[in-house]
Amino acid sequence: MVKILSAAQKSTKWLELCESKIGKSHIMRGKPNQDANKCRHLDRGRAGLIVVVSDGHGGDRYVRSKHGASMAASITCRYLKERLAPYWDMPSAAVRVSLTELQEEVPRYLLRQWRSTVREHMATEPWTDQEKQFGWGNGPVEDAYTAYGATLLFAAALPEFILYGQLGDGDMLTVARNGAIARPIARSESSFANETLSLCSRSAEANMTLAMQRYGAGSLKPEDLPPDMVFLATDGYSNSFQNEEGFIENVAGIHDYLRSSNGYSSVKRSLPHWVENCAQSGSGDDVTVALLFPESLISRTSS
Amino acid sequence: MSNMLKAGERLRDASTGKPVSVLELLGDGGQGEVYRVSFAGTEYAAKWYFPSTATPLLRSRIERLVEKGAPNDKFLWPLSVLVKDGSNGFGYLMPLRESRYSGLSPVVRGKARATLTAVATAGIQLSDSFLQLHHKGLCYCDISFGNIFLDPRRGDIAICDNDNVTVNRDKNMAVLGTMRFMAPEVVRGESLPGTQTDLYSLAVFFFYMLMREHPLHGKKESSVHCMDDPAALEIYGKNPVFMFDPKDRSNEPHPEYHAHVELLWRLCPSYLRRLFLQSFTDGIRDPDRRVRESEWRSAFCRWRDTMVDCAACGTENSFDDSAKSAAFCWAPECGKALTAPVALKIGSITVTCRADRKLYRHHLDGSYDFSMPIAEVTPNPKDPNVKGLKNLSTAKWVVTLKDGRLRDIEPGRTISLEHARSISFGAAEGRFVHYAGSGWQESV
Repeated sequence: MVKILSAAQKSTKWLELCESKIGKSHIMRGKPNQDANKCRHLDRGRAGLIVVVSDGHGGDRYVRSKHGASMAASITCRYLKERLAPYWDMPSAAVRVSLTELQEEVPRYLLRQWRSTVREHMATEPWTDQEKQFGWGNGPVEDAYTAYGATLLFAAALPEFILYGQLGDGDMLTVARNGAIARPIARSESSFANETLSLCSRSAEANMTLAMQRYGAGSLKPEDLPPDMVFLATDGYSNSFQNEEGFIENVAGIHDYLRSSNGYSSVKRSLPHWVENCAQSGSGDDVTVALLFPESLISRTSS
Repeated sequence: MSNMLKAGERLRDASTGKPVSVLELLGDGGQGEVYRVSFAGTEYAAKWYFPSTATPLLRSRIERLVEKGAPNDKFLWPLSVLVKDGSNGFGYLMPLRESRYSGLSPVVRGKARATLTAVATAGIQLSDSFLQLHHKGLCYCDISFGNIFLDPRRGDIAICDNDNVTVNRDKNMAVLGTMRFMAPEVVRGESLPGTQTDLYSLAVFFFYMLMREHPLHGKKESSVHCMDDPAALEIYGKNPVFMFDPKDRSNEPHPEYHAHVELLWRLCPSYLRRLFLQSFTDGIRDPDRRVRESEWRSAFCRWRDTMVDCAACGTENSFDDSAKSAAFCWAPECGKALTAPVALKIGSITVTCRADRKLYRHHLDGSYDFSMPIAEVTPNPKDPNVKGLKNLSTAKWVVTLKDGRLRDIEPGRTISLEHARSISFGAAEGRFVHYAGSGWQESV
């Protein structure tokens, strides 16, 4: 059977760069890197890509947040690949995809899988004496999700659309071909009364927010094309800047760098240093940065 | 988002040729984009179809809808077909949805709070609107979270995406619906959408409104980790089981995921529970056994008529007079016995005389017209704790006071509830009653 690809499917192959470094404050307190990230291509042709970033809570009570973040990253990648497969396999089906319906389903099943995995972990990894000092192991299982608390950021880039999701703090920005920068999910959605929302909270399902950007719907106008870059990061990165403007300028700079001559190699080489710098001299927190961009950005700059 | 149209661009009303100016892009969906536009000095919304969906068949369907006209003002209905010079594209003009409306999804997820009265009002308006739609020989086909909006404070509804409305069992219909809301026979591919399947979708929507969960999402669904098409076909089509099916407990509520549903089910009045039971037991298997729009309308009216505010904590409650035991405030931190306020009994209908309560024509003669209330409970301007009933009709009332005297209440005048024993509305008679443990008793 001959598979007819859409114009977007033919042209949009996705690449990613990802880096994570332990924060200075964690090193000093003998804690591990509690960030997690995972990337998964939907097929060998790289025409679909899922990137997930999760930040385990750093407070002393969150004794297993590293595991919570790691589980969140793996589960989200796996779930989104399965859930969004129909829209990759049948691009015409993507026309009918409804953000409202995905908003109903994705948080529900993601949270369900995360909690189920946390329960399995608790059953196979008994609480240590040190962990019990924080009260874990005494109360109901539902309360113990807190020990695994983490945030969640993801972007799933398919031939016809990108699905964004966020629960809790962290930053996700898109950069258009003309350099315009936007947050697909408003920052106010990620926190409530200045406290970050978390996978462990009872209201997690209600507070996980999705957004969608469609493109390639029968038009190849520049503004219809996928973003030139999607930037995801745990809050340790933006907290390294004096203000929002400085952070946005930095993201714009990364985009400029990426689309310059040999930009991909340069950014690939430099990203670990930028992230390390923030983790050691900036916020001092664990820092994870992930970049998604179409392969055409690289070939555009090469030519 | 892509912008097929730009701000300032000119479209034309296809029938009159009058200009329509594009103002801004509001959003997009699977079939096209929606814009805010200006026409004849007023702002409207306009849907403009993607080239791939702008077929001649769709255009003639839109033209037929324009000609038929909206069943009522709750439908954001196509008003005229729009075209653009030099283009084969088209769209349609419709009323603009006000910002006070929210989708049901935020309400279900607990992000938008809707009062019980607002939920009851939404139920009344939805069932009444669909009754009118079906009476015109039309069916909606695609009831879902994305198409029906409500004002969480007032309960008013707005029904959008009416370009999928078609005649019953139309073989050329554009959509089958959204699987979660589809009738099982449509999910299985055995039937096309129609008025009978609309009734099933409506029942699902109502269940979501009241219980904040899908009626088939019990233990079976809780074991699903990804609702892909095979899982959806199983849950919604091949083996649909109501979570409160009295004869089949295989899909009962999951204790961790559905504790809120069990609480809300217990709080739901028995006459509404009966309708849900019918919808999702017999109604799953037999389309002819589905609850009619008029039955829903009657039940939601009855529910709204029983709303009271707890005297101890002020929480809104519904006073289920069909329950044998005295009612208690559902607020966990209260739980005190509800004190039923004075109520007005008109035939078989009992209406609590709560502040802002309105009476309509159906309270008197059973014919529904929500456009003009005939009476309203109003506070005394000098003492808000004292309430009166204001005559909003065009007919004179004759009130029998507690001391036996008669008094005429002309249109626009108010009678104090404290002093009245009964009212003759002309078409019907109402007696003031109060709840006394075992039932309503006349006030003396």
